[in-house]
Amino acid sequence: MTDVPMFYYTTLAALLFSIGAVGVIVKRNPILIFMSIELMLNAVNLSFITYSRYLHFLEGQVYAFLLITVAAAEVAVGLAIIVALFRSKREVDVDAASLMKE
Amino acid sequence: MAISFEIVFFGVFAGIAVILAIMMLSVKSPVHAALCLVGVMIMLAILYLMLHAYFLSVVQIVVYAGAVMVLFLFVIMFFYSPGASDPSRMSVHFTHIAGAIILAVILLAVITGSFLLSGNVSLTEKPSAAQMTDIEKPIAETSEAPLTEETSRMIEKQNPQLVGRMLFTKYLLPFELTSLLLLAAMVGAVVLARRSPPAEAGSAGGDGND
Repeated sequence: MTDVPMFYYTTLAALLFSIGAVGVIVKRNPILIFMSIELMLNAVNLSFITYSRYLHFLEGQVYAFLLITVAAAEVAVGLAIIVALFRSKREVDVDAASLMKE
Repeated sequence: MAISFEIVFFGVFAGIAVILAIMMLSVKSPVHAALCLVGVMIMLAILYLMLHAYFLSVVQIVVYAGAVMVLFLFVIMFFYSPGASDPSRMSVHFTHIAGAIILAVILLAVITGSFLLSGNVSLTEKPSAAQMTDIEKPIAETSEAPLTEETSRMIEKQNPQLVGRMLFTKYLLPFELTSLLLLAAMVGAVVLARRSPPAEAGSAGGDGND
């Protein structure tokens, strides 16, 4: 087996996930929020692959692959929404996108 | 207990990844944030290599660091005017040239080093066809069985084959469903990003001036 304990990898994944979560909460620029979501998805991917390696369970890598596909689809649609948002309001703040609130 | 190389490598790459992730949130320009995110993706790809997930490591670089980040940069470039730093006004400093030369030397060293190393290792003992089939045989039998120590060692060697076999046999339905998902996402992105035609832009009203 490897010399690195599994704990290290899961801690790294948790750290990256938390940083991404902070970015989602703190940032107001929709593109930066989106990047933070990508970071969170990557952290989840890392934990999938870590468990796949340490528990000898190859399904984890299959799930990670499917997750990458879903993330790619999500990025395409999300960026299209951001483009539409920028086009309708010349605004780079997510708080300005309150059209559907009422 | 002596600290092994693997832990050192893990520490370096994980540290760089965390620092870049924090930098992503702290830098001002969205372009710089995107570049930091590319760095995080590449560090994660290296960590996937350390976890023996070779296939996913390459997919990570091609899909995330390649396609996804290019999409991000496209949107950023479309909607954020560079402002003070005009990209058309290229001013070449001495430091730029020096950095380029140093990077070129490092690249040359890496390429020649890898050539020298591969000349020692892989050219002399290239795996023959008989060996390959010998390795592949037990995988087909044990793909459904619980993994033992030997098959886990096999996973380290034959990761892309095993993942591909799993994707196209046991997980064929989810795999095909992702193609449907990608198609739906593509159609959705085209519909959302398209300029709405003036006939149905009644609600949008004033800003429909192309």
